[in-house]
Amino acid sequence: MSLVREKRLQREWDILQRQPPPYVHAWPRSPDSLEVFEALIEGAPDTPYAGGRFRVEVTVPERYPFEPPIVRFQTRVYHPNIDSAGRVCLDLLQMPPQGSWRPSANLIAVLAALQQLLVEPNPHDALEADVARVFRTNRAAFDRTAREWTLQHAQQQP
Amino acid sequence: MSQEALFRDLQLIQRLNHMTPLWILEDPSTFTYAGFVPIKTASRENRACFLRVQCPKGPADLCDASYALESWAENLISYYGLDGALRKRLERAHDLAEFVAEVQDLLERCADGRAAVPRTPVPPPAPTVAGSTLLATLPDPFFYRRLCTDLKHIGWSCLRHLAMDFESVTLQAIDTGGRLHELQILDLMREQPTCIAALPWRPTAICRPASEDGRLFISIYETYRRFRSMLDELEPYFRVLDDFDAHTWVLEPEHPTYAVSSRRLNLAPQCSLVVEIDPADPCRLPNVRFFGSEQRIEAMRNRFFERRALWDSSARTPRENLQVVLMMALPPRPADMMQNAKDNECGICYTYELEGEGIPDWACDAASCGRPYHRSCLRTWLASIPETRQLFQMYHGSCPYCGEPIQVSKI
Repeated sequence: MSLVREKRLQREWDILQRQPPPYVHAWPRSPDSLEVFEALIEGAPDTPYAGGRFRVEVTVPERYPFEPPIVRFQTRVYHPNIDSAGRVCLDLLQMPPQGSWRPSANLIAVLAALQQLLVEPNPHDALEADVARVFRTNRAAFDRTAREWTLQHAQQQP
Repeated sequence: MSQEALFRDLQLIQRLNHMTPLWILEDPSTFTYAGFVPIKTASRENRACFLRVQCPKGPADLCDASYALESWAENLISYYGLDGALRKRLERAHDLAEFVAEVQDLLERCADGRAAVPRTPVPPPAPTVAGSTLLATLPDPFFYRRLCTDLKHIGWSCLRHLAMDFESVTLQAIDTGGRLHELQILDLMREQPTCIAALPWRPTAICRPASEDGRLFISIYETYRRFRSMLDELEPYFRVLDDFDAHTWVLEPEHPTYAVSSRRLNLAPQCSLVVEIDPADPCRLPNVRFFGSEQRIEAMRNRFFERRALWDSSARTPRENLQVVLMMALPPRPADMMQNAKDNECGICYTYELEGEGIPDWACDAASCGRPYHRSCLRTWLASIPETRQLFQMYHGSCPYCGEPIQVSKI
């Protein structure tokens, strides 16, 4: 592991423990390595995801922080920017010029952005075109399905 | 044994030991003597050969005497066909001491290849006996005598550490200002011992001829004396550095020593100044380099170059002079160093002190940002994205935090 990556992950883990972003819990998957984090993101109240607990796996690449972390939802989510395999479409998770990853961002920012994505889906940059269409054209139907999925997939206790 | 004989015997042992060490009368009944013959070769590789001589008629009459050498020495002599010569020398010698000198002479010639090679060459045997290779590494006995006398002269209280194998010694000295300094001398037995001290100048090991043959050995006493006078000479330099270390906020080196003659002083958040003190003339105007975002340091740099004529090396210490020239108080070290490390950590690796890179030495020039970076961290980032332009050995990109233009050298 490169020195920069190691030093930085240690600091980020300290911050994650002391000041986690709201509705986010994260911890390293294995106690002796900071290569893969597991996170639990709670759906914010007043959203169709309220009450849900979404498991996310965050893998830190070898070139981190010069490359963004790789994020995957383990819990099924009905969301225009999250596909059935759990892949997430978020410009923060892409290298420039397509994306906006910079070393000024970090795991904390990424987790906060994921939580925010559940509050505000972005149908213009969709991964699931059908979900995006429903979101744009029939918001009530979207909310209903999202709530059902949340009840069905995101209710179990971790 | 008569008293006269005993006396003669003691005299002989004394003579032998004067020439070569460790001679003993192994068995008085058969007059068996044993000891070592030192061999100095042209390559100055010391070696010693064990020799046992039995002289039934006493050490002063070697007519019926017999001798035994270590096998490698015996092989060496027979390789050059000198067995007979040695035998003859034994018979002709007036006493044991003379014979030992003959053995020494012969072995030295053989070892140097100065003896005539016989017609039927056999490869010369290498010394294989474990004992003899060990002996080969032992220095002249004079070395030990000199070491003890030197240490006695210096004073045993100044001895910090002496290695078990006598390969290195650490001495200490207290200078006129009451500071404790250490001098470490390595490779004592080599021709060029190495001196190590936390000083801007490296003390030299001083060698003096030791034994009668003019071989050079280190004089620890002389070396230490030279070290002490170097400390006296450096006294003003120590005072200047002490002044900086005590009253300013030294960022680098992290643990300042007198070996490093430069100090990086924190001037303001994300602004620092490297001062290079000349050990030979510590009070004169030093070379300086400013670090930080251009907007923050520009005014200070201009002030320094406009007002440097005010530098008065006789009236004020360099620290006071800096304050006069810069028209500002140099901030002292804060009690909470953790906070400083956090304020000045690199925006990419999140570390203040990165192994191999030191502390952040680059910063965003935007006044509102000023984010510090390690040059290597910023370089790696700018090199990984396609927006970065390369021009004249520089990467031109944007600050990861504020997005304002930022440049960093490619190397």
